[in-house]
Amino acid sequence: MMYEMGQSRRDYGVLVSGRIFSLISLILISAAVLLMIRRAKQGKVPRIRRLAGLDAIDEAVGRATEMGRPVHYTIGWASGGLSGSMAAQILAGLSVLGYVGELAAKYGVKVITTVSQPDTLPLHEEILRLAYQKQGRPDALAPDSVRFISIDLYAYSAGVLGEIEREKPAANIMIGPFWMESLLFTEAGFRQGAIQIAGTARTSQIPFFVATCDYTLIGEEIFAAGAYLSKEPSQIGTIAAQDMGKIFALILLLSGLLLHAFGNPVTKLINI
Amino acid sequence: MSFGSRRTVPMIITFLVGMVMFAEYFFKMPYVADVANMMRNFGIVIAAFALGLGAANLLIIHGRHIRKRTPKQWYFSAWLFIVMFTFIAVGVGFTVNAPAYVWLFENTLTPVSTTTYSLLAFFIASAAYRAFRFRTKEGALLLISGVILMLGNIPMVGISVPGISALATWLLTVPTMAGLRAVLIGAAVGTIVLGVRAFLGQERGYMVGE
Repeated sequence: MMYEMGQSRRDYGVLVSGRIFSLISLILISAAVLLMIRRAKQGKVPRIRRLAGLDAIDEAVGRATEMGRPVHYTIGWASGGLSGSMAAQILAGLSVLGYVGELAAKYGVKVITTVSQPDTLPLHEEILRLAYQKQGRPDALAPDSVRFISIDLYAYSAGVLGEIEREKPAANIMIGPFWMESLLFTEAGFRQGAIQIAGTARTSQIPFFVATCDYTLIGEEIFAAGAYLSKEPSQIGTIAAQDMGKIFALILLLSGLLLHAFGNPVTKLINI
Repeated sequence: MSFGSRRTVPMIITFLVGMVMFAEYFFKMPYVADVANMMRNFGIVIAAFALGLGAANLLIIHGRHIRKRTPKQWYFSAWLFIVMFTFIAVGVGFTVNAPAYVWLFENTLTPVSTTTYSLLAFFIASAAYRAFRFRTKEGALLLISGVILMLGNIPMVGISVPGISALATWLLTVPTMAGLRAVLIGAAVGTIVLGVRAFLGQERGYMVGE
């Protein structure tokens, strides 16, 4: 909100001024999530559209099995790791890793994950260990499946390029926050003839994925991935809540547009 | 530790930490900011330990490659060790601000990083060659908009073809921006829902769905 010089924010007691509208929005979206979980538990599971990128994971791992080549998985590079602003995208990527790990364990194909953020390294290891354990094949997990490369973006990029070149994966799955390395990895994957599935919510990298990958998950789709792949009714319900959140955002957009058009100071309302 | 408690304990920790951060952001409550700061410091300490785990992972994996003389790999692993230990020795011996370390950094890592980044120019060209094909309606749109944008950014063409620079700017600021904002709004809502799911213990993908 644009405040004039000398003008102070109003005091809202225990609430932090300027964040009240965010709090209201959060409460509304949380209520939608709870409502949809409850409905799903009552058997009213919402129908959600198919996400081709996530459905193709089975095909990609199956292809790797047929070709006898590994699956490469990465969540990309994110400054700050789990404590940074990209944490949600990291978690979304890790949710899909669990599913890929289970498929890899089931079909007996090697999965290679390249890691840039050290605080996610134990998570990668644990997720794959649990995935193989769940499939009853804990011994099949290769000890070098999880490979820490570097915390530096360029060193990480160069390291992953080398891994893709040497290991020749048949499937290259990349879901998470990506920076300049997105195009480097997908081009390296293309040269190896890998089926490529990528997803990110970083708008600057989405065009590279769309141009170079077989399947792309755009923005919000990566956040729905964990719930979508779980196939659990209560989690599927939360995807419908995500749509309700978008409708809420759309109503806000339209209201703001109309109020602004008629000269109402809508920003004052939103920035309470 | 049973499978159940291995799931339950992280969920409880996630919920409690999330509640503290939530309270700190939205409410003015005594001591909450101190607790939140303490938790952030815990995060920094855990991340520092994790860096040690990363180094251990590198040593184990590349040590194995050297021991087994893995074809097309072991000499890279050996080189990694040489560079890694050189940096550690110089950094610990002279500190990271010492001229020796700065020289090493600027004459090895900086040019290599720049080289890696510059690869993008060639990769963009090859990716564009494959993507900009007149095979589908979407491909045609991409090709036409891409050509307009490229031409619009060339000063000579901008002068010779009236309106092309304005059209390129319009493409970037109107349809592209509209699409990007839609993706951003969707992603923002998705982030909130993922957060709420994690809060409620519903987001269990990173615990392999159990």
